[in-house]
Amino acid sequence: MTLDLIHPFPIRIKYSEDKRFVNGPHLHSLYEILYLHEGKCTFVFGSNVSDFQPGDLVLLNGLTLHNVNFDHQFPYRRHTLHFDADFIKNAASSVPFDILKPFHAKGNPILRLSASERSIVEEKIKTLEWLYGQHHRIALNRIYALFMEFLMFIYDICERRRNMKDHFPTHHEKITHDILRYIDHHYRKEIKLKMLENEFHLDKNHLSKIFFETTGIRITDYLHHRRINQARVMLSSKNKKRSILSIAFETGFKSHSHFYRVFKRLTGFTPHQYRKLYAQSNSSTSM
Amino acid sequence: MRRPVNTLSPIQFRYKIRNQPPTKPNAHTEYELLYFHEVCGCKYSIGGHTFSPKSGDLLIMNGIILHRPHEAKFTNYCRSIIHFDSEFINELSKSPYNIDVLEPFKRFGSQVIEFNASDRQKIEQRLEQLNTLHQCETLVSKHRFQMLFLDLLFIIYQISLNSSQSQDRLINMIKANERQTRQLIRYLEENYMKNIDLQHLEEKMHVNRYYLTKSFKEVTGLTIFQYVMLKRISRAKAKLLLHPDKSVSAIGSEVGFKQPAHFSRAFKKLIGCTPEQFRNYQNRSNVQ
Repeated sequence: MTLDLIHPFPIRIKYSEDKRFVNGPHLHSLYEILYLHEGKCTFVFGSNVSDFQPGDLVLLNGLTLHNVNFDHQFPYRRHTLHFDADFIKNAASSVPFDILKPFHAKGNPILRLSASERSIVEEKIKTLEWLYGQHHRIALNRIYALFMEFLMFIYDICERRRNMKDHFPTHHEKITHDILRYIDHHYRKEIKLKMLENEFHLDKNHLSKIFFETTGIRITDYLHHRRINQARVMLSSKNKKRSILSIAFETGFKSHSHFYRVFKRLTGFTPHQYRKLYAQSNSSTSM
Repeated sequence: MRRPVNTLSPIQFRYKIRNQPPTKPNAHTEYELLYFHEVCGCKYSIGGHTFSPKSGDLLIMNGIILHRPHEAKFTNYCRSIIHFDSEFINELSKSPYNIDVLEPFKRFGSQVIEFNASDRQKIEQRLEQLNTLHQCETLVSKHRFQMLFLDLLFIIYQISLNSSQSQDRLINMIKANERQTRQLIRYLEENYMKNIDLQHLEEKMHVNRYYLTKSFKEVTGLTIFQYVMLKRISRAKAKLLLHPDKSVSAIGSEVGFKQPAHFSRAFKKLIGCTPEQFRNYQNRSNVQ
């Protein structure tokens, strides 16, 4: 996952059936489209939990922490498309509507497709994937044009159903949602399970159990991910160059070394390396 | 001038038309893609070159060279025609694209491409998709259409790279004066925004200026300067559509007019309205 960051090509397509590498919530500096062919999953994003079915398309803007929690007894087959939003904005500068709008919409990022839409999407992904494997200049240009068309197609679907049906969460989903929201609001300060106990009037073991069952990760792990997520955003900010230590404090860590350790574990890089790599990958894609 | 630049959309698409074609020679500044779905026993001329198209052939050309079908029983004559403004595609295929997608059209002014069965199926499928989008007439479908059309041009680019031998045969069959004119057209296509005078062209092509202008008129039906003017105005149109922030006078000077007044006058003469009116009109139809 970590080396993906410095890949030079602005649009990438990946097919996967593998279950080993998907554990824990993650995010990218890139935008993401996820298409599920087969599997039994729940999808956790920001502070929401939702049912994720085959034929669903997920649209993510990269800053929302997300995690797919799937049932290991079933196959899990999906396509993932990553793209550089700045690149697309640039390429679409003469298009009079915002083709990235579906990725910035608030609320549920899952787009449930009809049977006919599914076959169109699968056809488009198949063509893009084939071109992606070709590795020559013409194929690359075709990917740009066809991917833009794909984004416009998605835009069209989203515009047509702005009044999507609301999803009614179960009791456990609701509690998980509340915990996620609490963490989102308070992760910059110290959070202890005891505090959650007081907040939700539930036993801390019970809370942990509910959270783990719905999301597939532990509360502390999520908290770490949330903090590192924010740190990554701050490290990759071009305008403000802040010291690593102040970033560590601002994202809720109490010591330098703890921050380093967690950052390295989750991203594979130290904060310094990360900042450098991000700057490099940016300067190479902007050419 | 006899052939005004069209105010219609930059890509004009006609799918599977069967009516009797006009057999008068025809020339226009748009580039043309002509796909023969069904054809039997007709001949087609482009400039001085005549060939017999088969079903499944694709003819690509710079429409400025006089062309027409003839000698025909047009009973089973079904074709799709796309006319497009080359300058619009030029603007559309700028960064991040890094291929000159119009190269096959420019290279010699015209080319017949024969497809194998699987490519033929792909092309026909694409034409059908384009037709569906073309009929939708919403803003999004219009832009999806443009992207798929651009992709079709990339496909053609790739296929025409592989079939350049038939091109060489064609070059040998054409008379010397037409070959020179086709070379001149190619030169003008790339240099019309510069200051062009006959002396310069004479030196460039190593041909006497009277001979040059005479054979240009024979092959295209236009004078060299009418043609340059049409190219400049087409480019200006494309820029007005795709760069809403650029000022009109900046666009005028980019396409080769030294004075804004001259640009406005020429634009109005060919299009029928001023550049500002043209831009406002297009913006309004985008909003709707």
